[in-house]
Amino acid sequence: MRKLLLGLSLFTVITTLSACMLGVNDDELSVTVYSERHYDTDQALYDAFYEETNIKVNIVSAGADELINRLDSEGEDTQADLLMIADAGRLYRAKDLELLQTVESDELNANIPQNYRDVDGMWYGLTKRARILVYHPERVEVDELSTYEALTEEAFNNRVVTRTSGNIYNQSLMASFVAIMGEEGARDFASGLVNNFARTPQGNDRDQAKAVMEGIADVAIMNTYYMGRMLNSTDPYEREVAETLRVFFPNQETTGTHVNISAAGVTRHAKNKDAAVQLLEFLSSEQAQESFANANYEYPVNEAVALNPLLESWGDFKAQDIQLNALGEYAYQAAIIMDEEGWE
Amino acid sequence: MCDYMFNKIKHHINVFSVTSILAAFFIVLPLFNILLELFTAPSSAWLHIREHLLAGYVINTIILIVAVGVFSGIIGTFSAYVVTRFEFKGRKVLSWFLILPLAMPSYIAAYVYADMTSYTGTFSRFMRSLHIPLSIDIMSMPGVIFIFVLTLYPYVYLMVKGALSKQSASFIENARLLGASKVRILVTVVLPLLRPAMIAGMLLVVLETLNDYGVVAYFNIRVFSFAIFDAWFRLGDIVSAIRLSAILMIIVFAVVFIERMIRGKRRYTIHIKTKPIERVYLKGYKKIVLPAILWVIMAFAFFVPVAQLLWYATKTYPLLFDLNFIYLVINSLSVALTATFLIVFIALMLANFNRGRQSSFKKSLLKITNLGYAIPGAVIAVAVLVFFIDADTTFYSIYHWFNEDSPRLLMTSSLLMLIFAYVLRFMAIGYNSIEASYDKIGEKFTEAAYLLKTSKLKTLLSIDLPLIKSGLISAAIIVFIDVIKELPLTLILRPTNYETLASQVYKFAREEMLQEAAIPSLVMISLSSLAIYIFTHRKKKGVVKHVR
Amino acid sequence: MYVRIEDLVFSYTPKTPVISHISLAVEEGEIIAILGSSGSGKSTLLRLLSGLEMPNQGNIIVNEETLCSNQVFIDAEKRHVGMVFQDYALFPHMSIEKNVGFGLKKMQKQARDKRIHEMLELVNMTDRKRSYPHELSGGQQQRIALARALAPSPNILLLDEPFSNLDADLKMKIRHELKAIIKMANMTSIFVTHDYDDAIDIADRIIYLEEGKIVHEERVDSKRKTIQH
Repeated sequence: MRKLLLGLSLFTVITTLSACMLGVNDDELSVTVYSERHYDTDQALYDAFYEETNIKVNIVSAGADELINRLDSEGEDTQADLLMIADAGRLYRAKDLELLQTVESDELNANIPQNYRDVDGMWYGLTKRARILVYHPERVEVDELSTYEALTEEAFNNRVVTRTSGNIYNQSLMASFVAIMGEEGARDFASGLVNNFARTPQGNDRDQAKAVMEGIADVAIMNTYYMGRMLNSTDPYEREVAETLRVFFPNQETTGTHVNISAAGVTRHAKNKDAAVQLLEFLSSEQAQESFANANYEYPVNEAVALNPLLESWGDFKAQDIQLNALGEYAYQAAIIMDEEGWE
Repeated sequence: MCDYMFNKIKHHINVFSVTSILAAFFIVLPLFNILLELFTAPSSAWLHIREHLLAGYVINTIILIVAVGVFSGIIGTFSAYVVTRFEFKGRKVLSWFLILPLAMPSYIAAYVYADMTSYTGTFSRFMRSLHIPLSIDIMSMPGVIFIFVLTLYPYVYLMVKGALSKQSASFIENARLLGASKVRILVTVVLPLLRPAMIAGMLLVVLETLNDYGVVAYFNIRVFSFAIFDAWFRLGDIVSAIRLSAILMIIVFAVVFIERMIRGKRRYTIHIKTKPIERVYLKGYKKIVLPAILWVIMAFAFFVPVAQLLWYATKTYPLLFDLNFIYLVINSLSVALTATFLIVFIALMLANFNRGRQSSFKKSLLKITNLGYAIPGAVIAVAVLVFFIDADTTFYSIYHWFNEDSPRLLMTSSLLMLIFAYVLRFMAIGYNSIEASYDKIGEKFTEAAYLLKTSKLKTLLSIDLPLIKSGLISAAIIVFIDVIKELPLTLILRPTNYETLASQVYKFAREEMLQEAAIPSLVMISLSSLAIYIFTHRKKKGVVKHVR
Repeated sequence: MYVRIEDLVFSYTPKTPVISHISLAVEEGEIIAILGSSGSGKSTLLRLLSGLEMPNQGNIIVNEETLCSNQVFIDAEKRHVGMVFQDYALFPHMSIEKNVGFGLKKMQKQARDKRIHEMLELVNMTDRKRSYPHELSGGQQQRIALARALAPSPNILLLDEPFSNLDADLKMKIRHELKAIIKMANMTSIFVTHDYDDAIDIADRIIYLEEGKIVHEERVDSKRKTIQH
């Protein structure tokens, strides 16, 4: 009994110590990225970056909110050089918390259209995604669909699903409506939409597609890349869902489809600023963009890069013409409106 | 009189009291730190919450805990009763199988069932293949109740089973001699005697339910733990989050208070030798039906989700041999073992401190150290993080003196913070089990040893520990399993890039990569199941049994 | 006086004193019975003597050593006081031999074994050296508890309701045996009981305790009759 205890204690101490030391960095030039993304294909890019520049890339991955909170509490002592997360609203928040710093780079300006860069150069978009309508062709004629607002009409009663208001993508969607339609308009949209919900919001974006497939609803509001993921899923049934359903880009005749981004910014207290900027430039370059965006079936932000066949098949579309900062500016208001109109 | 006070204080200073006071101090400090935030003026976010959301949160939370409490009470008591009172084929195996759902973290069960009942999931496809138009919407209040009841009923089961096996047959035999029918005996003798155990088990279930975040977030169920994260992340208002935590804590204390009231005063233990209940062989239809019900419970609570996970694992098993995965397991194990040792040690000190004459000081101190279990993981995370950053900043000059290159946030970036949080949160579990064991043996052996010129520490080692060994091991096992399964604290407080099984599962599940989540999930479930197996198959030394 | 208790007071709250200004003196080798009903404070008195509780005020002096006073409080571990508990408290996970030798840690093995044997002889249980407590009867357990308490040669022996767990017909026999053993060891003893027959059969002096105060004292003569003190 004693021996067992002793052995166990020894094991614990050794493994704890070794676990502590596992994160130790060497003295090589490196960039530490606090990243929400973690796709296997990214590693190839970082390796290529290392080949070119001899700069090692350390990825710390966690949820976006977690990363922001962590960065915030670490303050000056942070090891992070780059913050890479999705959703312009969140980036606005990171900026607001003074977690990022201004970067000036001709290359970045050249690679990335102005709409998808922060006004003050604190973050740079790397990929785009649109929040579109997904519908079942046997129950919905494509002529029936036009705008987001149209979904609030009588005709769509009990036929619409989307995720909860707590999800950042819906929050940003609403924020964009506040920016474009004003608070009144956004409020009308929210209450009308809630009225037409086929069920109380639940599940993730893929679940919305599945609900449409199942017949619970006819139209879902979701992100483009989930369709890409489902089409390439290892689960044949998911593929079936994605192959059956169709996508529609709303508001083409009016204000444009809602587009959001994933982006990266150099942290305020970065210890390796130059290296971080270099990595950013690399990721925005033609060389890296295709692989980077394709990893998640997203649109590359660099317009010189060819789209992958799937996105190509969906064709060009008109995006909302707003400064993406608005998604952050009106985020709180959007959240309040959704709560007040009963969007759960 | 001055001398007397000095004497009295000197008398009370020993290794137990010092450790206990230090432990309580460190536990209270971070909580106190953030409670100060409560005295700031309410923000507009809070007013918004109060007007539109708060009522919903309270109602939903109460519905959830009442339903989960009641149903887990029923299932736990029913299964414990059948397994202890009756004899039937497969009873022995079932008696420890029924504990296994504890090895399944609620959030894993949630993800698996959500997947199975989704359009492309196993269950839906199965129904479609049978042309039965039945689909289950699990992401609802009934669904979440289902998940919690199935993964948490073992707490009640364990408590009731423990109480039943010690319940003297003489009570039942007496009642029979007095002409009472079996049902009447059950209702008027057995169940009332079981009430404390039932209530204690239900309390644990309720506390676990209130703490969960993974399940309610995924199913979009608007309860308090959900509210706290929502206020913190969606509305960006940490002060509102703290306010909500305070309300949640009030609910929890109310629940705990009610439990104490019902349980009554329990310092008194019976040391007479009790005659264990003799099992009755089941006959007729009962022979089939009763065990069948138990097996069905087992299936839904454990076998079905595990089978689904195994199926996914066959597609992603190469992950097992990945070096990263090995690190993952080592990380989880080392942290869990360290936390377990610490908790058991401090719990021992606390339990010893609690013996002897009761005083309000002792009672308050113990309440403080056991506070952690009632506080939602999210709040503990914030409190501990802020506390450690403050501490590091204060002590930086000392670090610097020792080592010029010392990082500023020395403790914060280490495992120390996470382990501290685990100790804060799980102290109560370790303590309760150890205290119960001490309660069973009473004080006489320890006092006899003192009078035989043995120091307090030596007595602890040579007399107390052997006598409470099984309680100690149970405490260690339950704490270990809980640490391995723990999610919110782990996510927020781990050192950068330090992945554990729980954090990895969460990551995959969130990304809807359920197939990849299968392997780490199964490892967690296996480790916990192994611990449960050890827990239930320990050889009981004949001698120790007679302490009761 | 071998044992001096002076003005002992003990209470949980100021209003309800459990022991209220008790003073008592015991000669070496004397056997004292403290007689009282439950709630009289008799068990508390023993606990105070043993050092398991600390009095609010008062002195306890044994064999010229101050165990407790306003300046001094010696812990139970250091008091050289032996005690036999009401339910014997024999360590269930240790053999009889280990139990009896438990208080003899400081001795060398040889000396310790010798002493254990001596004690077992004294209580007539040498043949059960290797048994475990749960294998013994109530009366046997009591004898071992006695042996264990006496082994470290304490200054005084305290016994808490030593006969309450025994059957009536055994009691008589065991009372006599107990008295013989104690007298043989010349052990100053104080035992606590609610049974008058116990007291009169064994004690040299009976102290009556009621509500924490001594209300009466009697000497017992050789014919087992009491003489007013």
